[in-house]
Formats: sequence, structure tokens, C-alpha cells
Amino acid sequence: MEQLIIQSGHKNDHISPLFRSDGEDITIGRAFTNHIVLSDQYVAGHQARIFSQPSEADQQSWFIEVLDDTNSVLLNGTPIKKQITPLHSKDRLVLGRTSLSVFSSDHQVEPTKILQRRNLHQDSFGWLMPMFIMSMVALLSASSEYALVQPLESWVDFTKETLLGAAVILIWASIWAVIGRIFRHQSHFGQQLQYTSLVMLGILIIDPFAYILEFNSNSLLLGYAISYTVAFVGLAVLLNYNLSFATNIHRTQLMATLISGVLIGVYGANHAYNADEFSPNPVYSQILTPPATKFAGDSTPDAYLQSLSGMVDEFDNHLPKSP
Amino acid sequence: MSNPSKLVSTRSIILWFIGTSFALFTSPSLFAETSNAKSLFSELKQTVYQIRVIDQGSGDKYTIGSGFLISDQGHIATNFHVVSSYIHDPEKFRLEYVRNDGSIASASLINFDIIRDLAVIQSADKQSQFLTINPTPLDKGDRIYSMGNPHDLGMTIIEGNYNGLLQASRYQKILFSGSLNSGMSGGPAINQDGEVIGINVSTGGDQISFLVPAIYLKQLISQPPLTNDYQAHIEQALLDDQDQFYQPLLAAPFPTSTLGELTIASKISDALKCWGHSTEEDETRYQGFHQHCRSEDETYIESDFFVGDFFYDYEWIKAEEDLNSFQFYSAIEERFTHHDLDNAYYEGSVSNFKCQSDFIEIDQRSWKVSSCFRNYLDYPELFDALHLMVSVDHPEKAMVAKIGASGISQKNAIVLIKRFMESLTWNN
Repeated sequence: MEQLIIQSGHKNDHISPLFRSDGEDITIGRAFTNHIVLSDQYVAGHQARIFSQPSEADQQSWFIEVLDDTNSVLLNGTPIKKQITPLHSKDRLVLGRTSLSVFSSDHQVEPTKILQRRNLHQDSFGWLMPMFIMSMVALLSASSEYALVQPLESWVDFTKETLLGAAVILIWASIWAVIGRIFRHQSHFGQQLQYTSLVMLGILIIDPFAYILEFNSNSLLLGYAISYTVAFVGLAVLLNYNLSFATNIHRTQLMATLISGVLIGVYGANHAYNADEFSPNPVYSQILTPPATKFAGDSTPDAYLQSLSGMVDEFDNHLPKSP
Repeated sequence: MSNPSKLVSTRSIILWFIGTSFALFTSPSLFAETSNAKSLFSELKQTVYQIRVIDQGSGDKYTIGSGFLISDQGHIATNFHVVSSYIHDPEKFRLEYVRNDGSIASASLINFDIIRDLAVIQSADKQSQFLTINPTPLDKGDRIYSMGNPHDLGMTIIEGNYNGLLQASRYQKILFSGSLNSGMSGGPAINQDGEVIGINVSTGGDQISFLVPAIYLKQLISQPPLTNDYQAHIEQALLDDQDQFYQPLLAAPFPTSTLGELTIASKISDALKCWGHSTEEDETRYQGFHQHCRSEDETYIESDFFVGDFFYDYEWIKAEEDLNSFQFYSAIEERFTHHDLDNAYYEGSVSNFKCQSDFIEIDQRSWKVSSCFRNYLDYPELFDALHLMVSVDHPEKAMVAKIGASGISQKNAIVLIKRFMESLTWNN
């Protein structure tokens, strides 16, 4: 015979405190004589009684009886009067300002989620490898800055640049370690560090290709689109890892995508809002990359001038004068 | 752009020297000159007025300048820029003039020449005394006088030297070695006999002032009075003027010279000033060799809107040995910038720029090009045009070339860019 389980709150995974009955009555109220004692001033001394009765087909059914109607009791959001009402598994009760959930012990639970790469979630995940990866990413970041943008002037600058990169990753990972400590009582610092570093590495690798693509497309718009996409995807992937290690949120992927979308969206909207409607300077793609990275074809000067003339024709103001 | 200003200061020092030595060697005649100024002033002060544009709303003066009577019909000559706010917005402003005795009367517009910066207005003073115009050129060094009301301080006369017409200029202007100040604009410049030889128009710093030759005033007063469509008149004048400048230039391919490993356009007009310089700094790790030409003439339209700027600019850049191809192109990204035209800053006069970018092939070599245009809101046939290009097929050498013009028609701008691109070829 199944048992009846009463949980505090409305969340499936919120398991304590809990009351379990094999068939005997459960009384709920503020008085200390009850089985479940609620310290809620809007709950009566003897507010409700939950009891079982045999029904047809040898099944046990559960019912709730409201004993005091000073404040109404809500069953799945609907007030129930001083009457006997049947209860079902996963029903929600609100008494005064207290929420309770009712479950039958034979209630089916959701299928077990598969834990990807078990070792990632272990407390024994070391710091050595993540620290090494983080250092390599910081070194690579500084090196690519000097190899692709400007030649190295001094090793002091290089060291500063490397340390700065490392500090950014460390601070980010540390913040998430603290969040993990709060929400899961585990920092998972090693994991945070390793995955933050790897996502940074990904962005570092994609970045030059984004430049090359903008250079070849001659399009500032495509350049913006690429930058925003890389930022959005990068942040979403990073947050997905950060959230999954630091919190117990069910849908980390959806959450990470949403947060990244909102942050990048707000940034973009702010940028667009603050841009002046009138600018005395032209806006165009200024990116240049070496000849070896150029794959776009060339037009002829005549074709270019023809399309330029077409662009000039399209000025709103530049319409043929009416006679 | 440090070179032009450097030259101006050198020139002004030389002019100061000439002026000083002239004064030293001719000191006995100095008294005669001064007394001539005195007699000219007392003789002519009745014919020189202060011109005011009055804001109808506040009833007070909005801009001031000078002007002078040029006929017994009451015609007063002044600068376009003195009365331009009235011309752009006749509903908001009206014209007034102040006589030497302080009495005030109202005036109306008869005609103007925006290119020469001249205007003629009608006064009520149909008197027999007026200034006569003598367009005969003087000799360099001749003493001339200028009258006007600087900074609303009262009518003054200053003396200086006639120093001929400007050499490299789209427009003929007299170089007057004297100190014009704002407020004197539109006043007469007169010879020893009290005849008008030019009209005060602008200054270029210490003792460098410019006069509009009197011949243009003579031409303007011979024309019939204008009807009310001032904006159409301005647009037509600007269109004709840019045709006059660009069409002879664009009729044939540009003359060329060499910079680095390329053939480039050399000085394509006598109205331009060309300069060159090279940069070789440890910080940049590349060598840059510049050549640029520009016209220093501007046509005043409004206080924050000028046209007439024309320039082209070449920079031949070579990487030093320790610069890789990525670093080199990253460095010249900073050179791949459109020129700042500096002629209009407010959305009331021009549209936003529209740009087009592409790769093009000239003579089997590849270039990245960007062209940007903006349209004049009140003069829809006119544009500011900017064109920028950089060679993109050599890992450690590049040419950055740019050309631009303000107040140019679509047709002339497109041909200008075409001529510019076809004159630019690698020499190997």
C-alpha cells in the first residue's frame, strides 16, 4: 500500500521537511497537537485533516477536510470550503501563507539525467591541470596580440599582458566558485577554471577568422554580426559550464542562452541607442589583413563606379526636381 | 597638416620683414601717408556704413559687418557672409545699416555672389557722394587703405600694402598686408585716390588679409536684381563653380609622377598646394612617404558650413624588417582612414555619409577601396565625396591613397574617382 508524503513548498526536489503517512490521519495546524505544526499566523490551530478511506478496487483514497474557515485553504489554487475533498498525487495546498505538496509514494519520478563525464563533478578534480591550461591560454592570448597586431617591444609588457589575461580568467572562475559554494556547498574551482580557460581559448582562435571574414566581405554590418554572434555564443557556452558546476538549475543550457542573449542584447541596444543619429564622419569597415588571407575576388573599376553611382542615386534628397 | 601652417608663419615673418624695411627706408614719407589716411577718412567716412542683420524675434543685431555706397541710387556693397543669415532665412531676419552719424535705416537685398563673397543691398541714401570702383591692378607694395567697423568699435581706417593676387588659388584674391578684423568684412579697400580696388573679406593671421578684387563687384552690379529664390540661386552658383573647376581637370587623364613603386597623380591644378614629408619612427616600425595636394579655397555658405575643399593624398608605406605581414596590415589599418573634410558638422546642412566598399583590380593589382558620399540638404545636386584605397597584394609594402571634394556634383565626383584610380599603377 502506498504512503502519502507531504513536502514543504511546491518543488519536486525540495525534499525537507517531510511527513509520511502509512494510512493514519495527518492533522495540520498551528497547535502543537498536530502532526504537521505550521508557524504561520494565518493558519488556524486545527486547520485541516488529511485521512484515507478505502475505495473500490481495493484502492486507498486520500481526502482533505478543512476544519477552520477563517482563511480559505487552496487546493491547486482553488479555495475549498468546510467539506471533504479528494487528494491526488502532486496536488498543491496553500494554508494561510504556507505552501505544501502532496505526493503518493508510487508517484513516478522523472528519468535519471545522465551525468556527462563523471569525473568533472568530483570533489577530487585537481587544480594542477586547470592552472596549466589557464596559463597556456593567457600566454597564447598575449602572444597572439604581439604576433598579429604589434611586434613585441619588451618582455615586461609581454609578462604584464599575460598576467592580465590570467587575472581575468582567475577572477571569473573565482566568482563562480563562490557562487557554487553558496548554492551547492562545493566550489568546483578547478572545473570553473578549466572551462573558463577553454572557452577563452575558443574565442581566441575564432577571433582572427572573424577579422579575415570581415576584411573579405567589405561589410561593416557582417563585421558587427560576427562580433555579436561570437560574443553571444561564447558567453552562452561559458555560462552553461559555469551554471552547471555552480548551481542546481534544471535547464542550464536554456538559462545560459537566455542570460547571454539578454546581456549581449542590452549591450547592443545601449550601443544603438547612444549612437548619434547624425555623424559628421563616414562609417565603414577599416579592417585590413595580409594578402595571404584574402579570398574575395576583385571587381573592375567601372563596375565599382557604376554601383557607387547607384548608391549616390539613392539619397532621399537627391530626387529629380519636379518641373 | 603641420606644414601649411608652418609655411604661413614663415611667409608672415617674411612679409613683416618687408613691411618693416619698407617703413625704415621710407620713413620721411610716413607722415605723408598718415596724413593721407586722415584726409581719406574724413573725406570718405560718409560713404562707409555698418551693416547689421537684425533678428526679428529679439529685435537686436545678430551679425554685423561693413559696407559702402557705390552709386547715387543708394546701392551698398558688402560681403555675402555679412548678410548670409538674412539670405538663408529672410523670414527670421531683416537688414539694417548704420550711417557715420549713428542714424539707422533699413535695407533690402538686391543681389549676391556667393562664390566671390559679395552682396549688394539697397539703401534709402540716394546721395551724390559714393565710392567709385577702379579695377585696374596696382603694383606690389603700393600703399592701400581699408575702412570698416571692427568688433563694433566704431568706423576705422587702416593702412597696408597691396601684394598682388594669390598665386595658388581657385579664386582671384588680393593679398593685403594689413590687419583686417572681424566686423570690417564688406568694407572698402581703397587706393591713394580714394577709389575702391577691393572689398575686405577675410584674414589669414598676422598682417595677412584678403580682399575681393573690385572687378567682381563691378560684374555683380551690372546684373539684374535677384528674385526671391535665393537657395536656387546659391545652388546654381555652386554647381557652375564646381563645373568650372573640375571639368577642365577631368577632361584628360591626370599628369603623373612617381612615389615609391607606383605612379601617382602629380599636381593636377595650379590652384592646389602640394606638400611632401616622410615618417620613420621606431614606434611605428614602418617608413611612410607622403605626398598630398589640396586647395585652400573655401566658399562660405553659413557660419558652420563651407564648401570647396579638394584634396588628394598618397602614403607609400614600407615595413621594417622585423614586422610580419599581420603586424604590417594591422599597422596600416590606422592609415586606412577617410580624410576629415571639416566643412559641415550639423545635421541641418548635410545628410549622413553613405559608404560603399569593395576590392577592385587595377592593372592586375588588387586594391581595397571605400567611397563615402553625403548629400547637401538644401542643395540636392551637391555632395561631399570621399574616396579611400589601399593596395592589398604585397605582404610588406602598401600604398594608401585618398581623394575628396566638398560641394561637388555626382557626375564630377564619379569621374574624379575614376581618373584618380586610373592614374594609380604599380611600376613593375
